[in-house]
Amino acid sequence: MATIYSLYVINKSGGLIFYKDYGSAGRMDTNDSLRMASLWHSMHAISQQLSPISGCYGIELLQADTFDLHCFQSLTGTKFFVVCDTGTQHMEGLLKHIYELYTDYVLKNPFYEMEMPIRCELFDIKLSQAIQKDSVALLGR
Amino acid sequence: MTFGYGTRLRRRGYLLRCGRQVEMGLISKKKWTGFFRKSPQQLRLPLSSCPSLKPFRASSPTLLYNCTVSLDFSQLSAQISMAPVAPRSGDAIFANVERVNAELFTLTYGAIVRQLLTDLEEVEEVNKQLDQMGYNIGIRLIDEFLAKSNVSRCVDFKETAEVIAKVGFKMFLGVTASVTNWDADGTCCIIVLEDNPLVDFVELPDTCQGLYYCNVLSGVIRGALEMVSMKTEVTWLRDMLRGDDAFELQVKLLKQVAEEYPYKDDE
Repeated sequence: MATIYSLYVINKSGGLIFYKDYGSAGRMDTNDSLRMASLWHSMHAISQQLSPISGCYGIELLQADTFDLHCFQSLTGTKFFVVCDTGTQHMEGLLKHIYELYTDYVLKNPFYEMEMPIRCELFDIKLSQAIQKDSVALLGR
Repeated sequence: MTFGYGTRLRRRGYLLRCGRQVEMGLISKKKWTGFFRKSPQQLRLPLSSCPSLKPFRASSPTLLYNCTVSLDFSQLSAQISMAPVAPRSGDAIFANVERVNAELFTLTYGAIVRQLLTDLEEVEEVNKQLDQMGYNIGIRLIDEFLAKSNVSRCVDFKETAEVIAKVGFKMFLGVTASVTNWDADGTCCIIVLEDNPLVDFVELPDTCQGLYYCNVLSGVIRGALEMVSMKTEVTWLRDMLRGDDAFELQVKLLKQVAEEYPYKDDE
């Protein structure tokens, strides 16, 4: 069954600007989520250097025994990554959709300061709608 | 071939699945989905464009669970070579976004410039403020541009300028722009705007002759490019409000700043 455990958004300097967890498994407190974000940011950067293929832009998918981690990096350096159940499909589409929601409801908010933590209610509402719609769509298959 | 609900057909790397039941006499083309495993990715394409789906007519008007189809695989294989998400053209995006009244936009911008002139009084100051405002818009606009247009990373500055002119200007202002006059290095070009919605109804008075009325546009380009690690200098070469015959922006690439990570401590 497709389940999303958590969603992280990291700014271009590696700081966590948004964290939301959905499942009971893998719930983290604030410090742990910040640590996870910086860890992922560094790993993503290192992977670009280590890659044997030139023109590599970083890790897109990490598959483990109990979870999958899908990451999307925009050309501006903002990273969106989601920790989900193993074998979940169409996470890239979901991440692109979340990127669009970010550009609409976060960046267009004149009171949102760039690179700061996201505190936009509209973004939260639209995000929950997107995640719910996605789970329903996935369940329907 | 006969398919019932849930049937899977595998043939030389193609997997087709009958998604839903079909009604008598009609095969709704939307209800078929094909999962193609020809490439490492699984591409999911609707078979709506397949012409050889034939309806099966039953004698009784009941819901059919089985239907007979014949599928032309050669046509479908041609579809696989398409990229899963293609970049969208500026026209397509412009047609899809919510529009606002153009006059409202023009009048709002005019009000902003007038207010700045009243507050700052110096034409040079106003030019700088407009550029700064444009910069603040540009640093946020770039993400929306990248999200909605699906453009991939540009190979060189020439491609960047083309994308700005053809997709960017079209998508946000609805104007067609073109790129001309490349210098030898490929770092400096001129973007020509065919028309400019900001300057409808505007005439510059004699007291404001040094004003670059559309300076916000140069700030937008500068801000947007800075967020994708390109330091540029954008200036107005020709401005119709100042008596020239076209709107021309010169975009010059100063430096390409790659992402830097602090590997060593400062000593």
